[in-house]
Amino acid sequence: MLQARAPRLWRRFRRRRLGMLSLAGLVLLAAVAVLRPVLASRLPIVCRYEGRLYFPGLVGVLRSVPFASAVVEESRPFSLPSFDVEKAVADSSFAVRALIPYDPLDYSSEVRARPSRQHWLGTDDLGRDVAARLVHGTAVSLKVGLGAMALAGLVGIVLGAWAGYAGGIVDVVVSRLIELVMCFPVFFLILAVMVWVEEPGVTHVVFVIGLTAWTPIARLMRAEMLRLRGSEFAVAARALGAGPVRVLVRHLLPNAMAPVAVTITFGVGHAILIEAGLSWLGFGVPPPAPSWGVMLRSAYDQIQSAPFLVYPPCVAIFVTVLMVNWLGEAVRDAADPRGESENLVPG
Amino acid sequence: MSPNRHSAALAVRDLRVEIRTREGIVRPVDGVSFDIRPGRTLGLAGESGCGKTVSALALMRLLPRGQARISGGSVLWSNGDGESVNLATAAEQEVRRLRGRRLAMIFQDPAAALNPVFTVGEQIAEVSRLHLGLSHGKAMRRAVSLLSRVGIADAARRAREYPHQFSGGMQQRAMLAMALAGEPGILIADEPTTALDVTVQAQIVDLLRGLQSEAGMGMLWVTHDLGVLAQVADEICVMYAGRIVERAGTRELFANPLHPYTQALLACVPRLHRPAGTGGIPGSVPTPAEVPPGCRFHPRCALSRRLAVELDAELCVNTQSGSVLRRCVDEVPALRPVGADHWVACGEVAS
Amino acid sequence: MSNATFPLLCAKDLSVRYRVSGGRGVLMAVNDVTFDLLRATTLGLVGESGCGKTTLARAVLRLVPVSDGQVVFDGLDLSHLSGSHLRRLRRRMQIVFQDPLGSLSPRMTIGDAVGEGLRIHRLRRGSAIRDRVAEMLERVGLQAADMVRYPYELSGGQRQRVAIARALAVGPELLVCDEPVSALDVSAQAQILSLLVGLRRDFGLTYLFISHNLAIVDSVCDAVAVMYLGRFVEIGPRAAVFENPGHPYTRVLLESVPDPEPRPRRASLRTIGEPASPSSPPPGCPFHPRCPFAVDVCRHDRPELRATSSAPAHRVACHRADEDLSGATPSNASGITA
Ligand SMILES: Nc1ncnc2c1ncn2[C@@H]1O[C@H](COP(=O)(O)OP(=O)(O)OP(=O)(O)O)[C@@H](O)[C@H]1O
Ligand SMILES: Nc1ncnc2c1ncn2[C@@H]1O[C@H](COP(=O)(O)OP(=O)(O)OP(=O)(O)O)[C@@H](O)[C@H]1O
Ligand code: SF4
Ligand SMILES: [Mg+2]
Ligand SMILES: [Mg+2]
Repeated sequence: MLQARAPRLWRRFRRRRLGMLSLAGLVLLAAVAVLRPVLASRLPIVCRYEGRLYFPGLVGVLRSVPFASAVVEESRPFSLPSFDVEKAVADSSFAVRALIPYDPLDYSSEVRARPSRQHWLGTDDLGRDVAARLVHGTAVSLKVGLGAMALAGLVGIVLGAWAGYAGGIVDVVVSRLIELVMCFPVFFLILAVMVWVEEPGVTHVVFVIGLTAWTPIARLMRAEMLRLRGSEFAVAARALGAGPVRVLVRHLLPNAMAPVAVTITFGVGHAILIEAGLSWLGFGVPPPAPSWGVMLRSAYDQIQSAPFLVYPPCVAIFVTVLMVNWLGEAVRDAADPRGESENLVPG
Repeated sequence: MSPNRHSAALAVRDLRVEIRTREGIVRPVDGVSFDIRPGRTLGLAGESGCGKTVSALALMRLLPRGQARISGGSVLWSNGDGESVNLATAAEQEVRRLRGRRLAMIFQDPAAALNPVFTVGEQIAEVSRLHLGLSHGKAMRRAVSLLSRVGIADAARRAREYPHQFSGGMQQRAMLAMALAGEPGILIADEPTTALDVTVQAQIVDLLRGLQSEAGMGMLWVTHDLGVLAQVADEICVMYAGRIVERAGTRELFANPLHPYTQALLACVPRLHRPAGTGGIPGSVPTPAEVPPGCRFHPRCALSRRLAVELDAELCVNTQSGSVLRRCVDEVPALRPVGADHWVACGEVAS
Repeated sequence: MSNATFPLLCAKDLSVRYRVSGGRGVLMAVNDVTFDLLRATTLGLVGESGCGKTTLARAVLRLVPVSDGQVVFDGLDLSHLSGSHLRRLRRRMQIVFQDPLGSLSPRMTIGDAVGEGLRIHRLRRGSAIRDRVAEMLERVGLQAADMVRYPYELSGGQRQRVAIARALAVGPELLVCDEPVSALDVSAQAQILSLLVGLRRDFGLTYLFISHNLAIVDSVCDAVAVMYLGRFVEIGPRAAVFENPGHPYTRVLLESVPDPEPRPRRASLRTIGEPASPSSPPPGCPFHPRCPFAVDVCRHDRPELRATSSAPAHRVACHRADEDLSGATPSNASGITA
């Protein structure tokens, strides 16, 4: 009946409007992140050039799949640095341009242009198209937000559950570790690590945030385990012959996950913001690469001259964080067979 | 306990509860009426799954939200000074104001209803702090005295223990102490003594009786144990599949049970030096999803079956469970008076 | 080894101590308990609330740490068994917990709960699990369709039956029942009891049966043990204990059984003094502060379990067990009050 559990969860989840909406939104965001070469790129999606059909946009999408770059050839002439794409497209008899026909790194003289037909969200201080940067930043921010919290969740749940369930020396060691990490100024720890790493990239950011943000999750998990460990149903499972792993995974974790899931989703927003700070200091995503955090930071500095620059990354971060939280809450409620349960203690 | 007299009463009329389940909407409580009077104890008896707990939770407005709701009827609480509230429709805030202070409840599963992370003493003290405005120290002392009143030895130390350190019967008594901490005018007790041995049970019964005569507390005592009701109740309602089938004063009910269900129930009460029953009432309580038409008891009714043998074939009808009277299948019997203070919902007995 | 006279379960000098906050520090929940349980027999365990029945039940299954003494199940000393060996043995000894809601995982369906033992011990596979679960649910008076429900959706009595079905599903030899029917109405009680009795008759199941309802103990048990403050104060064949109770506490218990008739209680049914605390048991006979027959020796010397003159298997821990106390005047001021 283990197989039957997932569909049951799904059936209950499906009834939750906000949850479904958030799930759809996040899937859409992920799609934006993956399809960014066809959504926002100087290169056309399809183009007939000198009698041949090229697919530079699509190739870009395929190349972003890990390890695919070895297999998929670049659309040769289009990828050459000196190639004049605009001219090629203009000459071409058949070309389909990306939705936002700019690269996120394309400089232009039109700096701080207000939103217009050409630049939907305007341009920044270096004349880069904000919409294009936003689309490309999605990938980085999602990777950091979701990746870091997935890692933090994993570490926090495993360590917290282990400490709470096993007790004794394990508990002491894990608890001290939690305190240690919590007392450490996380941001500087991250900085230290990033300086130490040769070529900092998104993956490093994910790991560093993930390996420091797990403490609240572990603490909560440990407390939940302490509460549930002595419960009668855990004893009942042992009486049935269940080993510690089974008791932990099948009986205790499902009951402890609800508050933990919510903490994890709140962490997603936090991770996105940490990444912003890091990138701003030049320790996160390498500078020219767009991320919502980088955009927000630079917009912040020009809030007087170009206030409109603040909104796109702000709204993007806000909406993403909101959707992740809603998703977390919906999953939590769906996991509780009681639906919205009420405290039954009188008073 | 301070001897402030209560004269609160609860009048329940035609209470109905709907629960959403996989099989659709079910009605585990379907038109139940009774009165809880000041200083009196009303017993609510019936087989497992007949809707006793759901009725009790409905009175407290503690049904699982979003899944179950009161779909009809009224629960009129009045305090004797002319103030009254219909709990079935009142705003949540209003109900919360009454809960704990005016109306308290003892839950069927004490271990699940006590909070595992607070000491028992703290939990009891919390109630009197909240409702009687006592200081922390006073409330704690009161908690200790309540614990010893419900028969827990070494109460001062026990108050500092956590629920898992209590035995099953002690948890049940801790729940009772918690319910009494707010000096409620009405106490709804769902199986308050199932885990208690006879001596402690007698002690609890004495305590509650004392409170009733002292403070005029009204009580609804929900249980499947008719033996206990014989000791504590002034009046008994027998429930079957979401309806009340018989209501009478305690003496009257035991001396003169009229509904075939009540008779069958009394026949299975185990007694000392008498081998345990006949194997119970044949068949089982129908689930709320598949209640039989007409009299809900007809598939298991011995009277209907016996009359079906005696009477003309045209008055009878063949069902899965044998030949029974047609009337029992076709007509829903209403609760009708058959004597002073005695009501029965059975077409055959009443006629 | 299915020799009928070979005890399936022996407890020897079993003690369980709990650490308590403050005070003297320990609470002897079970103290020096010894008994043998023969195959296909039922030992009833009665006693006041909080006297240690549940603790004893858990101790014989090694669900709480045993402080002293040993438990031998079918010739195997449980205290020397490794974790995995013990887990395998658990299929053969099952328990029905006192609190049905607490003992069921809130996020597991009834079907998963009842089928769990089958999966752990790989007794069935695939759809055979379902079939067995459905069969067990029907045997305890539930429906196969209830499999998809969650514990909170059931009534108290229905949960209790789920707990019984879960214990029986793995086909145990020893079943420890901690108040198995106290949440059930009389009709369901009769049904479950006849199921248990039938299993004993057909498959030779052995029970340790805890109940505060003496009428039920009377109807299903072969032997009865009476517990007071963690100790056995009387043990013997059912008929001997019930018809010829040797210990004053047993008498009080038997006399306090409420009749299912609404008439005033007899005077002796009133509470018998203050309950004693297990963390500071009185010296001498643990029952002496409440005992109507206590004499000087009771206050200083603790009586051991001794065979009575009438039946050797009937043992009582009371200095005055062999005296005829029916005419004796209560000698204790704090004894029976009117
Ligand atoms: N939340 C729920 N969802 C679905 N069905 C429910 C729910 N709560 C109760 N029921 C069903 O309603 C019926 C009545 O339940 P209730 O708990 O009132 O019984 P009860 O009379 O208290 O029985 P018991 O003596 O066993 O406690 C049962 O059939 C039960 O399965
Ligand atoms: N985990 C624990 N920690 C500390 N003390 C405990 C613990 N469990 C039980 N006790 C204490 O041990 C004593 C015996 O408890 P036990 O649960 O065995 O009683 P019981 O005979 O089953 O009572 P009941 O009939 O009320 O269920 C009680 O005083 C109880 O408070
Ligand atoms: S030994 Fe004494 S005190 Fe104890 S039960 Fe016997 S007579 Fe009573
Ligand atoms: Mg109930
Ligand atoms: Mg117990």
